[in-house]
Amino acid sequence: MRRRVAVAVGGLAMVVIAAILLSGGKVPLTDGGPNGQGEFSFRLGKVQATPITRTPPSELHDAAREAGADIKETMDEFYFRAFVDQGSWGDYEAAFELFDGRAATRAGSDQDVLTLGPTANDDFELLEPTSGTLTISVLTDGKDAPVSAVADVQFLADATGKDGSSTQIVSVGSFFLRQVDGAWRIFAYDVDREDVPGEVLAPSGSPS
Amino acid sequence: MRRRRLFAAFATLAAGVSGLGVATLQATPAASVPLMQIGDAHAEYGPSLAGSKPIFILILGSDSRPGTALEDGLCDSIHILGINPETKRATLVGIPRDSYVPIASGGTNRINVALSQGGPQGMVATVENLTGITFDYYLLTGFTGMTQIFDALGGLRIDIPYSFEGFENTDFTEGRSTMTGAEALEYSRTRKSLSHGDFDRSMNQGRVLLAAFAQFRAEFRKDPAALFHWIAVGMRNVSTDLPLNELFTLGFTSWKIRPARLTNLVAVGSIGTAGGASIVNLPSPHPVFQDIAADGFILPEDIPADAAPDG
Repeated sequence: MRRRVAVAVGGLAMVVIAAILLSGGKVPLTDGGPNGQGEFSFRLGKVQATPITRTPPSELHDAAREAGADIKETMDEFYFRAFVDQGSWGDYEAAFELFDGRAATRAGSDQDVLTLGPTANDDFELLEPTSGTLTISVLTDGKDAPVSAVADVQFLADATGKDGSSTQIVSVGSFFLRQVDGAWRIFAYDVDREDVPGEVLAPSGSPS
Repeated sequence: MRRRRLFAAFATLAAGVSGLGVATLQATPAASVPLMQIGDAHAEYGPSLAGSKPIFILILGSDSRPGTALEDGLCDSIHILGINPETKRATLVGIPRDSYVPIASGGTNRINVALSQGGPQGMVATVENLTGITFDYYLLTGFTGMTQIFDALGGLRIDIPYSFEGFENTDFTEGRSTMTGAEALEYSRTRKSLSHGDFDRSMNQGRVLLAAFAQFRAEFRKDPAALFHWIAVGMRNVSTDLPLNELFTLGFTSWKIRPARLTNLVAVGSIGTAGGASIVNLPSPHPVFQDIAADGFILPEDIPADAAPDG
C-alpha cells in the first residue's frame, strides 16, 4: 500500500515539477481580482462514489461528479480565504464559516495549521499558489444520494516573507464534508502543514 | 501521515528543481542564506463521543443460512460492546449462546432463540433484561455478511493465541495471520476442537471483533477516507439501527481508543441441562454484567479469572 502511495505521490510530484518548469515557475491558479488574486481553483482529480447500498459505484458516477463540483467550490473558497486572499490574512472568520458545528470552533484554535496563520500579515508579503489538487470520495446513503464526502487536498504555494525570504507552504490533508442547508460544509479534518524554507536570491549583480 | 511526509518531500524536491531551473535559465548568481525553519504541524478534529456517559452496542451474529432472513436464525454470537468516551476505554463481553435465560417474548430458553422469536428488538430486550444494560444500538450480521465484510476489506489481520483445527479442517496456527472472509467465519464458528467449547468460541469471536477494530483504526489513521470504505462495507452487510451520523461519530471516536484499551472477555456460567439440552446457567446477578453496566468498561485487572476461559 505504502509503495503504491509513494509511486502515486512521486508521479504527482513529477507532474508538479513538469508544470512548474514548463510554466517558468508559475502555475496560474488564481484569476481575476485587482491583484491577480480574485479566486483560487483546485484541479479536480478523481471523484468516486462509495455507496452503502449494493448499487455499483459506476452507476453513481454522475451524482458523485455533481457533488464533487459543489464540494470543490467549498474547498476553493476555503483555501482562497485561508491562504491566497491577502485581505483575509490574520482574520479567518469567513474561512471558518465554511465549517459546520463544533468543527468551526475547533478550526479557530487550529488556524496555525489550517490557514496561513494569525500573523500572516506580519510574516508574508506575497503568496502565490503553485499547485492544488483535490480528490474526492462521496458516500451515498440508502437512497443512493450523496450524504458525505472526503476531500483529499494537496496544496502548494510560494510565499515571500517580509524579509525577502521565500518559503514553500505545503498543506496536505483530508476534509470531511456534509450538506448543511444545501451547501457542503466541513465537519472534520486531518491536515498537515509544512513550511519549507527556501533561499534568498541576492539582487542580481550585487557582490557577495 | 506517511503519504504526507512523502508528498512534502517530493514537493520540496520539486521546488528545488524548479528553483534550479529558473536560476539556470536566468543565469542569476544566487547567494545562499539560511532562513528560519518554520517547521511542520498537524491538526485533526472529528465529531467524537464525549462525556462520561457510556454507549452500549449489542453485536449479534445469526446462523441463518444464505437465502434466509437474518432474523430467522439462531443468534450464536452475542457480544456487548461498551465504550466509555471519558476514559477512552472499551470492553467486549461475550454471552454464551446456550445461556438459559428469560426470553423477552415469553418463557425461559437458550438465549439464542430470542432472535427468531422476537427479531433484533426481542434480542435486545432479552439481553437488557439479563444484564441491566440499556443498549443504544444493535448490529446484526450472518455467515454471508461476515464473509463478505472481511473479503471486501482485503482480509482480517489477527493474532491467533493458540493453534487449533477449524471445523472445516483449516489449520489455525498460533501467530499473526491474515484470514479470508471464509476463514474468519470458520475461526468464529469453531467450537468442538476448543478446550472450553462455546466459551472459547465466544472469546474467539471477540478476538475477531478486536482485530477488526485495530485494523480499521490503523487504516483510518493512515487514510481518513478509509472510514467511508468501512462504513459502506459494513452497511451493505449488517442490519442495524445505527444512523450514519452516529457511525461517523463512532469512527472518529476510534481515533482516541487504542486497541490496548479494549478488553475482551466472556460471561461464563455453569454447564447444565434443560429438557435434555445442554445449557449454561449464568449467576444472577452476574458480576461481569454489573461491572460493564456501571461505566461501559472493565479494567484488565478486574476481569474474573474464569471470564477469559482460554487464557
